[in-house]
Amino acid sequence: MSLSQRYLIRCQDADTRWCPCVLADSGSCPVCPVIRGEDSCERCLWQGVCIYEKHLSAGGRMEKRLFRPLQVLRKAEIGPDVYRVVLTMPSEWRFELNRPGGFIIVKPSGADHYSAAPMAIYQSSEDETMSLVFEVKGPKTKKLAQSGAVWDVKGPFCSGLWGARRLQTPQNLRCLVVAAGTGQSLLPAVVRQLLKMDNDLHLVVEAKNNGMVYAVEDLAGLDRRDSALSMQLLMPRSDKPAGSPLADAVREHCYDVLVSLGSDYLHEQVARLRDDQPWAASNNSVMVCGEGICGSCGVVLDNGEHLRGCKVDIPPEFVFGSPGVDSEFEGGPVL
Amino acid sequence: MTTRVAVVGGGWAGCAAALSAAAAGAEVHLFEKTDMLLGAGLVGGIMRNNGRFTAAEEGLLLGGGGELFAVCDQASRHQDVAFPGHQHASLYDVSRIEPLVRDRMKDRAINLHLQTRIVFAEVHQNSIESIHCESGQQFAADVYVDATGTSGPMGNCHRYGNGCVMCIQRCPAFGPRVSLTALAGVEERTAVKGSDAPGAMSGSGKLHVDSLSEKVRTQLQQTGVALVPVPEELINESKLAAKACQQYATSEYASNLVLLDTGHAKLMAPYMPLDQLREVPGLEHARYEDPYAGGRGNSIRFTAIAPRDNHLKVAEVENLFCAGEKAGIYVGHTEAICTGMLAGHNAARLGLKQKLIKLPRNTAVGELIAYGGQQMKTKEGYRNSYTFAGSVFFDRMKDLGLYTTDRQVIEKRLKQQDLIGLLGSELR
Ligand SMILES: Cc1cc2nc3c(=O)[nH]c(=O)nc-3n(C[C@H](O)[C@H](O)[C@H](O)COP(=O)(O)OP(=O)(O)OC[C@H]3O[C@@H](n4cnc5c(N)ncnc54)[C@H](O)[C@@H]3O)c2cc1C
Ligand SMILES: Cc1cc2nc3c(=O)[nH]c(=O)nc-3n(C[C@H](O)[C@H](O)[C@H](O)COP(=O)(O)OP(=O)(O)OC[C@H]3O[C@@H](n4cnc5c(N)ncnc54)[C@H](O)[C@@H]3O)c2cc1C
Ligand code: FES
Repeated sequence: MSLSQRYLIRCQDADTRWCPCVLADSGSCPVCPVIRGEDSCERCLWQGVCIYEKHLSAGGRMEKRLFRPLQVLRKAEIGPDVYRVVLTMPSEWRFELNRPGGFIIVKPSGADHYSAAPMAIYQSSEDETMSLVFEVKGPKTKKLAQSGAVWDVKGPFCSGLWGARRLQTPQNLRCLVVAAGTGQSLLPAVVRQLLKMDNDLHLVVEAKNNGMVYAVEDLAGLDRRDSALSMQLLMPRSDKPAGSPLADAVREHCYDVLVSLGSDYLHEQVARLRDDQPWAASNNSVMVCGEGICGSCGVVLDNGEHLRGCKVDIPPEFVFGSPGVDSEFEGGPVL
Repeated sequence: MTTRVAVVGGGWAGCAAALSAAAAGAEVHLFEKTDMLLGAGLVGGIMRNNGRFTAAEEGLLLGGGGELFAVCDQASRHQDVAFPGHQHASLYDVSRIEPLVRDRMKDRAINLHLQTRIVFAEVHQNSIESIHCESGQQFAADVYVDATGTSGPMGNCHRYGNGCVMCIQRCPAFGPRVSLTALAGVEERTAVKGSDAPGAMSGSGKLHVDSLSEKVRTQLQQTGVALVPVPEELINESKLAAKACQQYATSEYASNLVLLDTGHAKLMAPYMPLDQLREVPGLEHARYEDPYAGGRGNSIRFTAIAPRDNHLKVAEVENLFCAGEKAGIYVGHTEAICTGMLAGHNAARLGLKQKLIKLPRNTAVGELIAYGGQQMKTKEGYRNSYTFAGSVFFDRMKDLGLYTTDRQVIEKRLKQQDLIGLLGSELR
């Protein structure tokens, strides 16, 4: 991987108070070559701040996100095994969580940290509440569905959408956003961002197995322009896999930007339909600590480099759509 | 009985706090990360505009840190200057002010620790026991004042602005700002920009005077102000929402470049790409002052405000006060001095086991502190900034009858309440 390609991989925490983190402390900062033991700044992946300087002056001290108890204000089963939860939100989290890709890590109050699951922020509001929607899949989400008035929450994180930076600048472009299942939870922030930049949007929302389309109604209020609705729903509900209608849409309209919110399987589909346009895809890494420590979120790049999926923003094309990947592949990141 | 006060941050707020604490009889140590005092005061210069006149006069009468207003007057390049929205401003000379203040601090026996950045605080039972500087050296005091401001650090300027522009904080050289309040474990508050992002971008830049056309230069030197019309196609009003200084967010500032003579040619705009700037007649050869990248952006401020009461004591920490931008969304040198002079005085009071004081709300300074604190308890409050010089607070001063430029009225008001010299006299 060339240095200029490597430049596209960004640490989500480099310009925050959570840098330097344990990765810098252990000599494995993804941004700073000097911290990694190289003898010059030549391969520095500058992100606006000198992490080497921060690392030296921190003298081994670092700030970590810690679980804190937050109140569960409402929990409703909005569909079969699908829950919408409203939590109190520390006010300063809003600025991070209302970005596309903002998420938190949650567990039932007092549960051990293995029970924690990352959850996208569906909506955050000025009255210091945030909501998320989750689907019961296995032990962690089952426990969350049963658990009570308080959750332990860690945050704010903002690496939940790989390629999110690409949504900051495009203006007056045609964008296709595909969301499937609980990937819909990323829709409001993504749509808000793309509309802010006066883009035209087409949405494809796929219900997945439980038939739930929950995000579409909530999007209606987001289009603030006087002109005709710039957001067009191509296919609100489908029992078919995303593949074919998606292909039709992509063939028919020449989109400038693609956004894929759903499983890695969906990302593979989108990757295959994509030409060279910029795209973003939800980050589906398995995450436990969110701090770069546990390694459960590992992503291995073509060049063999190991990265922490929880920490970095990776252009999705580095992970999805490699030639030779079995098109039926449906699993974790394509390594 | 003696007491030791440590002031962290040597901007206007820290200097005023140190002078008040010293006047009250404390042994005072001031810690500043850079090699100069005054912080953002090294690039500003505008004093006494609008309601700041009233506040400066009150400060001089209250004493303590208020004596800094006399130093500013002494360093004025221009007095009684008017520019859009502003009356009777003084402009101090940014290249002469710092040594004058430093001398004053030494005269008052304040121990200055320059190039000493505080990076750690030892906290025990809600009290700060000691602070540590970057070199590892430790320092213990009875009472602390956080006057570290809110500019930067580079991460904030990058995440919420256009990146580090090498402002006067000079983080790359002297290290980033570190908040003592945060080190003490207190959760800080942040202002909210128009577009719903944290903090606000500073609203003025600095041009090299010699790079301006002779006409503009002469006008600046003679009157202190130059209004340079911006060609129609360059006018971009959308930039206004991001500015810290709502008082300068009017369309007059969008259709003209307002320049002020502070030693620099102070440009009353958050930033402007150099190529655009050079399209303005009179500024064809303009350049920004070194090393500042004024064409790219400006510093981000107001992301780290301490919760506090009207004594300016920080919530949850027994022996910590705050001043300047740390104490509220306060824009300005005058505001920093006014909050600093009370914080330093109360720090000495706490150390000497005396009752803390508030300033009454029928003074401009007392009202600023109380109103700013009150606004921090509301959501909307974080969308405004507060200054004697304009916007909501100046309107409020006028409504309450607090704004006046009549020195006798101000003196009478303070005398009636026994406030003359209150912050300048030694406590026993
Ligand atoms: C950034 C991010 C945001 C997410 N947002 C949402 C959301 O808004 N709503 C929602 O329903 N789900 C969301 N998820 C997925 C959610 O975290 C998992 O469904 C959950 O952890 C499953 O745990 P389980 O024990 O119930 O199921 P398991 O039986 O353990 O696993 C079921 C599936 O979830 C995946 N998974 C398991 N553990 C994790 C983990 N720790 N982190 C990520 N994936 C895991 C597995 O690979 C498997 O595909 C998000 C995941 C990430 C990484
Ligand atoms: C470009 C610009 C122009 C301005 N122009 C004007 C103007 O013309 N008129 C006006 O009234 N106002 C102006 N202002 C606003 C005004 O300068 C500020 O609001 C005011 O000076 C803030 O003072 P302060 O003491 O609270 O903070 P600062 O001036 O920011 O001072 C904080 C000090 O603390 C130091 N510090 C930070 N952390 C540490 C640490 N851990 N250890 C030791 N030291 C530390 C910093 O180096 C700094 O010197 C301007 C601001 C800017 C940025
Ligand atoms: S989730 Fe633990 S290292 Fe990424």
